[in-house]
Amino acid sequence: MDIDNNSLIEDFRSLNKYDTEFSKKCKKISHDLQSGGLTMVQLVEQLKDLLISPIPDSRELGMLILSQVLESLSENQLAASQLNFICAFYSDRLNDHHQVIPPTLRGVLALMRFENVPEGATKQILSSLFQNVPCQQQQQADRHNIYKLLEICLDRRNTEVHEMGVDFIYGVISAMDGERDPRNLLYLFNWLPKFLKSFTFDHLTEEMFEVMACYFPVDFRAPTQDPNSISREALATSLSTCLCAIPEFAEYCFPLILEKLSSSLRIAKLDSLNILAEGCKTFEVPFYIQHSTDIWSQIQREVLNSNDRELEEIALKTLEIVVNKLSYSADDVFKRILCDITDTLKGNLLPHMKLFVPSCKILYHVAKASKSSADYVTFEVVPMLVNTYNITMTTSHQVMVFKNLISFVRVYIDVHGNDDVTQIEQLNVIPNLCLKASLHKEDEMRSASFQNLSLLTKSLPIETRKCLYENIRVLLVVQRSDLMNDSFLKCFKAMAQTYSEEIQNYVLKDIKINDLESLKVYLDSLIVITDQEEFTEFVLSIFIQNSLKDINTAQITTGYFGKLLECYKDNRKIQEFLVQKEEIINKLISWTLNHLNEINISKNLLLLENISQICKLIIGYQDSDSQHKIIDSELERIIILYRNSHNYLLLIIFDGLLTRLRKDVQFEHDILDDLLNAALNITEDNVLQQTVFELLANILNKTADDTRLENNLKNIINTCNFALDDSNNEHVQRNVVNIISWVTKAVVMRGHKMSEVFVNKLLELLETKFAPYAAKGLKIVMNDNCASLDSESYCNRRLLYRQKFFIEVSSKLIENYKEENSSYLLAIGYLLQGAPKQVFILQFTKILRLVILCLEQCENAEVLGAVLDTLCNLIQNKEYLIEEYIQEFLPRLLKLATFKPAMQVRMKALHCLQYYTQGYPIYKLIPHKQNIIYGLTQCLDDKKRLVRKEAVEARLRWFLLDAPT
Amino acid sequence: MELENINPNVYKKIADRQTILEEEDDNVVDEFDAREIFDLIRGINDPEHPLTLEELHVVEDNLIHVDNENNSIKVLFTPTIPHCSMATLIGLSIRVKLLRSLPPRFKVNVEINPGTHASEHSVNKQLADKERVAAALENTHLIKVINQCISSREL
Repeated sequence: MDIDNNSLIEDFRSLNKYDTEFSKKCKKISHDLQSGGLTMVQLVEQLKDLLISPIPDSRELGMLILSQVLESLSENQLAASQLNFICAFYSDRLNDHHQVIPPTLRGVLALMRFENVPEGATKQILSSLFQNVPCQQQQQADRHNIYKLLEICLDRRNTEVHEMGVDFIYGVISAMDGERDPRNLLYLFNWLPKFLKSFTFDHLTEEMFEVMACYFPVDFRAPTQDPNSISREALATSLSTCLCAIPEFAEYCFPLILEKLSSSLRIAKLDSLNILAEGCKTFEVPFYIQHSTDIWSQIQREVLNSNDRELEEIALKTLEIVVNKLSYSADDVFKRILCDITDTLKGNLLPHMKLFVPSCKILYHVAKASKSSADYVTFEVVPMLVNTYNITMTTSHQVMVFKNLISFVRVYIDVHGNDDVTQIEQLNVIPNLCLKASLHKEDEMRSASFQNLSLLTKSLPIETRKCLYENIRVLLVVQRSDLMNDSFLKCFKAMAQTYSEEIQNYVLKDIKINDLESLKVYLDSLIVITDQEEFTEFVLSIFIQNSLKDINTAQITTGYFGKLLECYKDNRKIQEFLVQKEEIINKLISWTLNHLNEINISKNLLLLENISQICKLIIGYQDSDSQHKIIDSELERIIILYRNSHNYLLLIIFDGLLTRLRKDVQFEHDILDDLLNAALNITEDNVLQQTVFELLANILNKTADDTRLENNLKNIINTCNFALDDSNNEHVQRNVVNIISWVTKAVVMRGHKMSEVFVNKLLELLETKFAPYAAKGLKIVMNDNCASLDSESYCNRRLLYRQKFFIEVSSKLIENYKEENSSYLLAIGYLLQGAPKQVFILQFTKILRLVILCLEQCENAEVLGAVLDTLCNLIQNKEYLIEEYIQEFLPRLLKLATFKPAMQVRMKALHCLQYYTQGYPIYKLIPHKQNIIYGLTQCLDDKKRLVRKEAVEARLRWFLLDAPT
Repeated sequence: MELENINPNVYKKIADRQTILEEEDDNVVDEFDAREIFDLIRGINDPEHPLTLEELHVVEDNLIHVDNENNSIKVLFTPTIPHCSMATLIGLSIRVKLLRSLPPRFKVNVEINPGTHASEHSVNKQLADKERVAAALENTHLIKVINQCISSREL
């Protein structure tokens, strides 16, 4: 047995106490204890030599082992009799050498977890702790353990702790007195409220308060490197809960916060305001009444003189909470306080007073606090504001008064939940006032009045409403200024929501449309009420009717129809009504086919585009079946007509029908040849051309049958090759390059195996006379904002296809670059225009040479603009690479700042120079400063004003780079 | 430091200059005009208040004269109060800002609007004296204040 003893001790002696082995061994022992292989008595017996050794080091080791073992035992492992013995032992050890205290504290903490701790043991341990261990002389971790111990006792040994009474309170106070570590403080502040609430403090109240109040306001700056560190806000909030934990603290709390509120320290004010608000939960009303004058004057000062938005907001919020608290006091007392507040501010509510806005803010928040304050303040203030409104001369001031006035009415309505203001003497003039304002001669005022009317819809009496309807009816069909449009529509919508029947009867029924201009305005206005059930069918039938009238009406109506559908994309009801009940697509197409001869390509292209857009917006949201149905019934007749007439206008209708088909909706008719022919031969119109290219790409991208696709692609490339070699018509050849670009985009997007053929073809073309078009083709592929090829059109999009394409093509461009062929520089420029930033950075060092050559030699303003845009973006984001190559870029940018042919380039170069002054290490910029400032002098005399403006900005920034400020 | 003018009148800012089509046309030459000079100096901060010279009506559009042919520009400014000790500083700020923002071909005169300041004459003389201006800019404290006044907002 003895040998065993020594071996255990020896084992531990050889280990460092911070070693993981050490704690593993302790775990092992506790495991043995739990399984019954070892008893507590045996363990203590074995550790005897250590525990009663005269050397503190050994005792520390013994205690550490014992404590660690206790920590890993389960909570019901030890019996009461055992615990009795151990507790007595530990409370004795608390009186030991200072070195033994830390492990003892750990042990005590572990002991308190056990369920069977006998009656009296807690008291014994705590008394010994309070008597023998001066908390503030311990290290941070040990102090933390003491606080933990106190909390655990409070939680688990509540009755015993309460029996200790004042001793415990005193113990806590003296333990935490002078604590400086933020971690410990945060821990303390978090559990102190429950301690404060469960004891009565009597003569120790002030002492208890002071020991916490000394931290107020929390002045603590967390180290910036550590993201998980404690924030000042966390400390401040938890402290404020402690300071307001019990009603008894009010007596000490008020003088403290009022004093701090008047200090000039920002955080002191913030924290005081927060406590003031927090205290409303616990402190009694009389205290607030007693200090109301002080609180009010402090808050008033904060709001009226403050430049600090955040502080002002918190002050107002606090005021609202405090006034709400005060509203629980006797009526006459509360009235007196409100009277005090309103009387102070009344003088500021006259026209052109500088403090008008902040005073209104204060009164607004006071009114918002409770029902009685809302009554009092609105009844006092509204008549005054009405008066001010009437005597204010300038419109912009009047509008401001008006807005504030209505906000008070709104508060009254909200607080009472009662919309009817006509019965209230002070407020019954408001509806008419708004109505009158809506007839004002200046738009600013009318805009404000409609804004306000939309807030008060429910409070308008019938007579007012009738007048308003007159007004709305007129405005619905005349051109409105931008300033007024939004608020008018908002008001119209709000009225339609509240009084749908009246709007129908008094407004919409009698609308007279005289010309196309008023039709435009009318249709545009109707869009806002379309989603309301009562109006949906009504509005849509107006749109449909007008879409099927004469060409000019149709052109306008279809435009707004598209806008309507765009607004209510996901509204099932509208879609269903249009497709199932009205068969809108069928109607539109029939109408188009009937009117085809009257449609003039130069004048009415917009009409067809609108119709196509409507088709897209409807078809795109149908399911596959429904799409099938539409295509089956419509497509064939258009194809037949097209093949007979070769009217290119029909291609736009194709586009509308086919672009947004789902992938699984395949159609029988092979129209690729038709499209390809059209794409080769159309010469006249840009939009038409673009539509055909995009549709071609869209169909190729979505073709599901692989062999069919491959044949089609082979066919296309053959046709293209043939046309390039054969035709002398430059138009056709240019079209070929465009076709190749678009087809390349289609196949690259879906990652088809033929894509390499097309990419190579496109790069080959860089060596021919079509190089500029081929270079532009790269931009087409890189561009991601093409509506007919995005996911809304159900196209196949491989992940990161642009990135892959960029890397592939840029490597090839570098490989093939020849100095005599400038089209490579063009190509790199266009490529960059659409390149995602990340991938550009990835390739940066590789293509840097070409980019710089491009900046140096390129003459094409568009390309230069694109490259500069990309660079500017990188400079703005302070990419490391940009910093690395600072001396390569700066001189070239400076040169481009005087680029004669295009002002855009000059401006962009100057932008880049501006952004360089921000966020880059000054020592890298300083060597260039003189050069840049000197170089920019020339730009100050640029012939374009806009360029001069940028040059001034850039030059000033470089001047101030290292200037003392 | 005690403020001299505690509660100055604050005026509304005028709207930004609208860009007209001609200005975007590469082939048209835009001449310098009074509004352009005004735009250069309207944003200068007042040394006392967090307000711009425009808001205080210290500089105004119609008090600026540009003579493109003869390369001369004359700016008159109005101190907020007649005995304002900041007048020289404000004038200096305007001068420095214009010095840095205008092509060197222009001769710039910055003067106090006649009849609006107690010691108008001496301030004008100081501002017109090239050497005194240069000497003032060597003073680190002074240049610090001026830089603060003319530094622009963040991009």
